[in-house]
This record gives sequence, C-alpha cells and structure tokens, in this order.
Amino acid sequence: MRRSHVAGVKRIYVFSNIVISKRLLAFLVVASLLNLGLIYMILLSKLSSPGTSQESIFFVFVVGLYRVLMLNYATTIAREVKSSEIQLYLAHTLRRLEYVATALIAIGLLPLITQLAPYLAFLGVIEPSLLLRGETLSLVPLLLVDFTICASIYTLVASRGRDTLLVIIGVVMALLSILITLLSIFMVAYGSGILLTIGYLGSLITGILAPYTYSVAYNLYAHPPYPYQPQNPDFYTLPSPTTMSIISLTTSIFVLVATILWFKRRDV
Amino acid sequence: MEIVEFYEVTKKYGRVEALRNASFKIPGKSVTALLGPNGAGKTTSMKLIMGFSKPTRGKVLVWGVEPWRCEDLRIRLGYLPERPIYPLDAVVEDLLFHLAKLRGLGKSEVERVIKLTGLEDYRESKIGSLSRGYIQRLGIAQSLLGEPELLVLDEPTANLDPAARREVLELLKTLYKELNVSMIISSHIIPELQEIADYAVFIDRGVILDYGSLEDLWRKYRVEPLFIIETLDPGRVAKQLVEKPFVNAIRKLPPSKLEVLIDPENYKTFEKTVSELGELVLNYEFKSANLGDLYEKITRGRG
Repeated sequence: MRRSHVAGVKRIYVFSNIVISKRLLAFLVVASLLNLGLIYMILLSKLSSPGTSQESIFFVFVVGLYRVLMLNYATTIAREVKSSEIQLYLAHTLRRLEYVATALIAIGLLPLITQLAPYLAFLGVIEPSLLLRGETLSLVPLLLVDFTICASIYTLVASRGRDTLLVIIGVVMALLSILITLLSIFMVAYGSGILLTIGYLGSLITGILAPYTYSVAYNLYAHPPYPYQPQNPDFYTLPSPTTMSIISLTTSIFVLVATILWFKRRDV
Repeated sequence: MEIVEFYEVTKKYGRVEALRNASFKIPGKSVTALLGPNGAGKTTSMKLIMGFSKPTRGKVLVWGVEPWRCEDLRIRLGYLPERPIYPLDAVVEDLLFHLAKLRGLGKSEVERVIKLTGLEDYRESKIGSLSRGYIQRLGIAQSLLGEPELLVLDEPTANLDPAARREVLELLKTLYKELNVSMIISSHIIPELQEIADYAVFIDRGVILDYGSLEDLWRKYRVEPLFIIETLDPGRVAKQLVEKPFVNAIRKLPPSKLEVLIDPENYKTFEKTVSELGELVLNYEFKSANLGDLYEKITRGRG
C-alpha cells in the first residue's frame, strides 16, 4: 500500500514537471514582471510614508496579480483536457486523482511560491521589523485561504476543459471580485435602501470568493481613523473576516472534493 | 482466456447512443480487428477498454476487472489514440522520456521503443515537424513503453497516405512477430487489417454485427479462404489439387506460386492434402479471404 502511495507521489512529481515545463518561459516572464511592479510599489510607499498600515492593502494587489498568474497553468490544464491530451498521461498510469493534484500544484502552488515568496523576502530585506514583529506574517493564513478558493475554482473549471469560460472566470476572480468586494462593503457602510441590500448580498458572496479583500475592506470601515464611522449600524452585522475565511475555506474544500469525485467518473 | 469482455454495453453521450447493447469477447494472444465505418462506435469501445469512459449500462471487463474502476490496469495496456494528441512543441525523445518516467521507467526503455519503431533519426525533432506517418510511429512508440501485454490501437492508419499506411501496417506486423503482444486495432478501412488480424469484431452504428476468429467467420459466412503455395513444380501441384472437390479455383502467380481458393468448411482437409504433397511444396500460407467481402456478407446477412 505504502509503495503505491510513494509511486503516486512520484507520478505527481513527474507529471508536474511535464505540465510546468510547457509554458514555463511565459510564466516566468509574467511572474518576474509582476514581482518587479510590486517591488516598485513597495519602494514608493516606503519612501513616502513608512509604516505598517499599508501592508495589508498592498496585498490586495498581490492577490489580484496572483489570480492572474494562476490562469497560466489553469488554461494549460483546460486545453489538455479539451484536446484529450490527458488520455496520453492517463494511458501511462497516471491516475485521475493524481491528475487533479498536479493541476492544483501547477495552478495554485507554483504561482504562490513564485509570487509570494519573493515579495516576503523583499519586504524582509527592506523592512525586516515588519516580518520580525509578525504583522505581515499574520496576514499569510488569510492570503492562503484566498489563494485556496481561487485555485479550487480554477481547478474545477480547468478539469472540465472549459478554457474560454476559465478566462472569463479568471477576469472575474482577479479583478471584478476584488472591486465588487470593496464596492459592496462601501455600500453596506454608507449606502441606503436598495443599495444597502445589494451591498450586503454582494459582500456575502464576494467575501467567500475574495476573503482577503473582504478582510481588508471590513477592517478599513470597521476601524476607521477617528472621527469617521460607518453610518449604517447594519455594517456590524456582516460576518467577521475570520468567519468569512472559514466559510471560504469550507467552500474551497467542498469545491475540491466535488471536482475530484466528478473527475473520477467523467469521460476523458 | 478472454482478455476483453463486453456484456450488453450501452454508452450514451447526451442523447446520442454510441454503443447499444454491445456484447463481444476478445481472446488473448490475438490480433483483433475492430472494424466498422466512421461513427460506428470503435473509438467509444477503445475508450471503454482503456477506462477513459464509463459504460452507461452493462459491463466492460479487461482481464476480469472493470477498467474505469481499476486504474492500475493501465500499466498492462498500451494505447494509441485516434487523433495525434501530443504536445507539438515537445521533442520526440523528451516526450517519450517523460512518459516512460510516469511508468517508472528509464532511458533504456525509450531507446528500445525508438529502435523498434525506427525513430532513431527523429529523436531530437520537434513533434510538430514530423510527417503524419512519423507522428503515428511516435504514437506506436509511446504505446510500447513498459512492454504492455495488450496494445489498443485506435485507427493507426487514419489520415495517412497509402505509402505511410503500408509502412505503419508493416511495422505492426513486425512488432507482433517480434513482441508477441496482443493487439486490438480499429479501422474504418475494412480490408486493410486482413494481413495482420486473426480475430475480428464487426460494428456498425453502435451495434455489434458479429465477432469471432476469422477462420470461423470465413466458414460461417462462406467466404472462400485463400492459400498461397510456393512450389518447385506449380504445374504438377495444380494438377493434383484441381481434382479435389473442395478446391474452387487455382491461379498461377509467377514465378513459382499458386493461389488456391478453397471451400471454407474444408480448411483442415486442404491443409492435410498440401502436407501430403511432401517435398513438392516448399511453403504455404493461409492468406485469408477479403475482409471487405466478409463485412459485406455480414451486413447483408443482418439487413
């Protein structure tokens, strides 16, 4: 039994190499450009107003860029399924579960390493106190939840071979969900009537899809600098960022389990 | 022992029924031709054998287990897909090496299949630059990785020009002789597999028309088998054979061969007669009748 697990892990490793080597150059170019952009933004912010409060807001950009970067291998997987290239790998003893696991690695884990690690490293160099005090690192669990929901949704769509739909969902996840989350929470804090209702519903839905942005926006309005306060008392009935993260993580797990169960039985 | 068994298998894609109550068996150590026109259900059958699809109804067994449930089974199978689905910007040797690694194999296995399929001069070529014939060779090469016990080859000669088709068929014949591996080969060009196959499954519009060893099918549908006899004295051998009641026609093939059409029910008697001719006969081979004729008779019989 253990031998078969070891063989499975080995196959995932080998197949990850195959998938990652496919569009590695494009991936590295985009990842490097995104990292350079982020570093430039950090430097600008540090020079103008050094401090800790902006870290969480900067990560909203990191999340958006990360979500764009994840599309690279998500579309690779989707095209592989669509063109039946997957048959080639399954015929060579790769199991369906291993295929989904590899898809998750290529879609989620690789961009996470190439995007988040250099960012944290750079931050550690230019302002080590932030990392040492643990303020930035305390954001990491929340970021991971955010990455997980995005990776699980991309994996679900990619495993169905829907490459065009994936790009549409990618745009929604990378840009719109973040903007809508910010806008919805703003409406809950300051809107009225129908706008308040829409904002409330929007916050609940996009909070699951973009838990990190939800957390940043929630904290921004819940603890504004004196004398600003949300004008709607309803604002405080919104789920806390922690609750929303738990809901988001549960949704991710549900999506992943559903993807695996469905993929194990689907025709390829 | 049967290696593949279909029991009343129905496979639907949406409303389309690709296979309808298909039942047939394929024995081991055979080359099986899965024959039928385009859209007959051949690729669906192949996918069911490989476990890429799950039957809507019925049961598919390969070595007694259901392939869609038991993914470990695929280590014993080699598969050539109908369409070339290889990453076109990959290098031949690299792709084979990656696939070999998935099976836990090393470079020596890649060397073996490259040599077997005559890809030595193209090992460093990009797949996209290969001709269709060589892409098909690559397909056969990857299917041979890990020395599978059964090769499932979906339309290996589809979209090839006649010369390339001939080459691929010759390659398959050589592989069968050298490796002694069982094969299931599908084709919509009915007669082309007659030189290599000894078992056939005929399929049309998702329905199995008939199946069995070619020898049995020739007899059942009274399609005349054909023998090629190589002899030192064609005239004398022809004279002796023409008197036999089960010999229907004899034709001389220069320089020293005879083509003999016989009554399908007297196959064994004919073989005995030929062996009695002793040293006059240098060699003889059963060349089978035309698969196309057989297919026609089967479809006419059902029509």
